[in-house]
Amino acid sequence: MNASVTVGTLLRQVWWRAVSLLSIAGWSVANRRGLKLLKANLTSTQLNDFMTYRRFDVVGGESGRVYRIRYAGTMNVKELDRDGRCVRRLCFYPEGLVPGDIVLAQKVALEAFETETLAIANKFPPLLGRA
Amino acid sequence: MHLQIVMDSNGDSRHEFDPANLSSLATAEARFQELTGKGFRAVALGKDGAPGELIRKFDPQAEQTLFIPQLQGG
Repeated sequence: MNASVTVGTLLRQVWWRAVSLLSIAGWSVANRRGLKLLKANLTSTQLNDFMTYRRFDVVGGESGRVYRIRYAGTMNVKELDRDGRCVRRLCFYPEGLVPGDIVLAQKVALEAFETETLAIANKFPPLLGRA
Repeated sequence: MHLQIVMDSNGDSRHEFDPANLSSLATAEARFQELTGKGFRAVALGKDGAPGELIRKFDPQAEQTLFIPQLQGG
């Protein structure tokens, strides 16, 4: 890792943490609880990625495939190939939950009951030109 | 004390139980049966974010169990 990458990563972390502090101030108690529960159940690597990029990677509990979960919007789960490229996008979620809970549910589902989760998920092709 | 965490619209609801207390254990097991009967998935959470384990029968040894509402495709 070169110095510019390290500085870039640090700046990104500072940026997201500052944005988090500002935005969380206006959040509901439910949203805060969801985010707290999510952060409490990420590994140190996942937490660092989440705080830096607002996404983290999960290894499928049955296939060993890697999924990238982003903390935003719909179709926020990507299945990656060995080179880290998106091979398909997945859409699945539990209804009626706050964003932090949804993302945690997606992580836990892929790790603990991947096959069942994939059977439920709707699958979409990757967006061209995006990892 | 062990903990059952139920995801809901308020973020989550938490229910502690004492695995050494029969009454507390019965309440926790009844909650497990009720939630899984409604379609929730119960996962024994791993430590420090490690992968959890899907549990289909009530496990009094699970220190933290997360209940996830039924998933749906979007």
